[in-house]
Amino acid sequence: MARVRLEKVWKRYGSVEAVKDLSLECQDREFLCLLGPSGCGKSSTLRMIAGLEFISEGSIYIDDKVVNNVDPYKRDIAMVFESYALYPHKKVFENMAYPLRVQKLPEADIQKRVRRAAEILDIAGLLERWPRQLSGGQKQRVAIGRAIVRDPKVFLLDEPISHLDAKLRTHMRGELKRLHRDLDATMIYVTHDQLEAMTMADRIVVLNLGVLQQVGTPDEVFNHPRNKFVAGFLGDPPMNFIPSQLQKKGKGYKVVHEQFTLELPDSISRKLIARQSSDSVEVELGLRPESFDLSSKQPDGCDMQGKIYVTEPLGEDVIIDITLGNEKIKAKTVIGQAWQIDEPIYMRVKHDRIHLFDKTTGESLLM
Amino acid sequence: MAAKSRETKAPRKAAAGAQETIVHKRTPFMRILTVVLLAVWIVWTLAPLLITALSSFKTAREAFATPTYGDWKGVWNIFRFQPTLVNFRTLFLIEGFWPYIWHGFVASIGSALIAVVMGTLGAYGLSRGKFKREGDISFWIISTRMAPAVVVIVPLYYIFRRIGLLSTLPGLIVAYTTFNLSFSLWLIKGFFDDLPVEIEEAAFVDGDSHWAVFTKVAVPLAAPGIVAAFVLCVLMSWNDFLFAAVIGGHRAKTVPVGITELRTTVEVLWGPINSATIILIIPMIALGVLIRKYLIQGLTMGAVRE
Repeated sequence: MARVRLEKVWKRYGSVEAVKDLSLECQDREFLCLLGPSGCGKSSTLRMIAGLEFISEGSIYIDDKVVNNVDPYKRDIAMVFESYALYPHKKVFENMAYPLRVQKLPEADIQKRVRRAAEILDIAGLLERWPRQLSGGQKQRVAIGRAIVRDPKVFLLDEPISHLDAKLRTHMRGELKRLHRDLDATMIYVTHDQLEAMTMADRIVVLNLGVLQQVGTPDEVFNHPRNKFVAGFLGDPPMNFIPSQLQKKGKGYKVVHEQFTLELPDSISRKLIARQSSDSVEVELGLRPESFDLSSKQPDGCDMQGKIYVTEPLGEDVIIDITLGNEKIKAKTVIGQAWQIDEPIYMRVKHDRIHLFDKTTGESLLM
Repeated sequence: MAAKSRETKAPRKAAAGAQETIVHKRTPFMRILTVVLLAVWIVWTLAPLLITALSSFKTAREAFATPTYGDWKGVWNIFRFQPTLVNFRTLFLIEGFWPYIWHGFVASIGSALIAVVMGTLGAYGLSRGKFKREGDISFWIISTRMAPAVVVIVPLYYIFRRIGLLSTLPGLIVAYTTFNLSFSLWLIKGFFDDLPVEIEEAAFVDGDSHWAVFTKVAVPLAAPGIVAAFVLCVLMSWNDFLFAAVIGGHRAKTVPVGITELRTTVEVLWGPINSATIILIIPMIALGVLIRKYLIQGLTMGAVRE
């Protein structure tokens, strides 16, 4: 197993900059997730680590050795492709045995390793089939099997489960996480699905338009997003952003919107004071759908009042779309109460769940 | 409830309508017309072959025997004969036809081998490599096939005479390669273009060098195209008359040229001409069957997510 380090890496395709000045480090035995929307440069980054793309600028290290000009077959990495990329002219067994045959291992060793990998992935019955006879989920397992038969320095996974159906995807998330633990391996995993990143990763690297947005544990990026992009990308339904005014009030601060005034708790005010925020700033107030206490009757200490636009029951929970002046926000709560469309709704904000972002730069004011 | 049933009916009607527009119902008239046209076409193409094949096993007298005027049953006389190998004997023993077959074989196989080996390498380079003016280079290669062969035959004659390739088998092989190479390169390039590059990348990551990826993954997967290109190159060279007549000259005559020699100033040797034509055609039919088998193969099916 090994560490992977990127140092000021750029990737340009002609005039298009796919990856800009990216520096990051994947620790030994870590499950690192590259997360971002399509075109954010996550796949380019992974392909550069694999050696399938040239690096325009910067350096990539595997175990403190620069690999910029090292061919993929000399890097000792295993990769699982989005399209599975099985060898159509070889049966499943030979597909999985391929990396071992290249290494010219003894036949008995190859047999042993392939059978073991097949057992781990529950595809022992498929070894004599052709790739074209497999379902999507089986192909994906074979592709993973081909990666785990050997003992590479790093596993690279490029959206390996994004084309499976929802049920199988949920199942494979757990399987992959367990596999990571059992193999005790360094894994770099690319996905556009925040749920995959949140559930599986040790650390998440959020990318957008080729630029690193934030690196952190799932808890850090979810609860302490560094900017508006990260805050909006993680979470479903996404965070509500309400353009408002941050104003000084005595020793603390308050957020003023034409529909409400939200007094900020001391913990947040202290951070704002430390930042030396000016007396009145345009901000985006960020509130996750889960950070409201909702009520149809006006409670004590109500922060905002809106009108129910529509309700979306989800079985256990319900998402309520609320109009707040010109804004439309989503709130999530446990199902039970009968919410009527167009009725007023009262919201109390959980004060420890407030996020504030600079209106122009999008940077969090609470970091 | 009523509203619901109307809703479900409407799309079904629309779907049925869509199906009708896609699958045209064939009227009996159209079906009969199709059969008749196909029958005429089959007779048109196969009758000369059949007559040639039968005549090659007949004596001249039997081959030219015609029924009396108005005797329609006499048509079947074409099948009434004593099979004889006299024409083949004349062809090989008296006319000395063996070298022509040998020349044709060596020239077509040799040029097809060169064209396919070089074509596969070039096609892979053009398909996978990224370099400047790639489109122009590809177009230039195919443009060499745009002019008819007659255009190059005169300059080629002078060049070959100059360097002593005229009237030699190597000369004929080079001449055939000039048009086989660009053809095979383009045909094989199409197959490489259709291969998902991820399969090669997977092999690259799995530990194969560039050359191993090419020989162990790319070439086996493009094999149907490579075989097809080989067969077509053989057919085109084997079939060629122009280059064989002009470049091959006296010492590298091939079968089509040899056949013209059977029309002497004294007589036209129809029997041996028929036999030689059969010898010319049989390998082509065999290869035609072979190529069909290879072209149909959908080898990449199911390898990657579609």
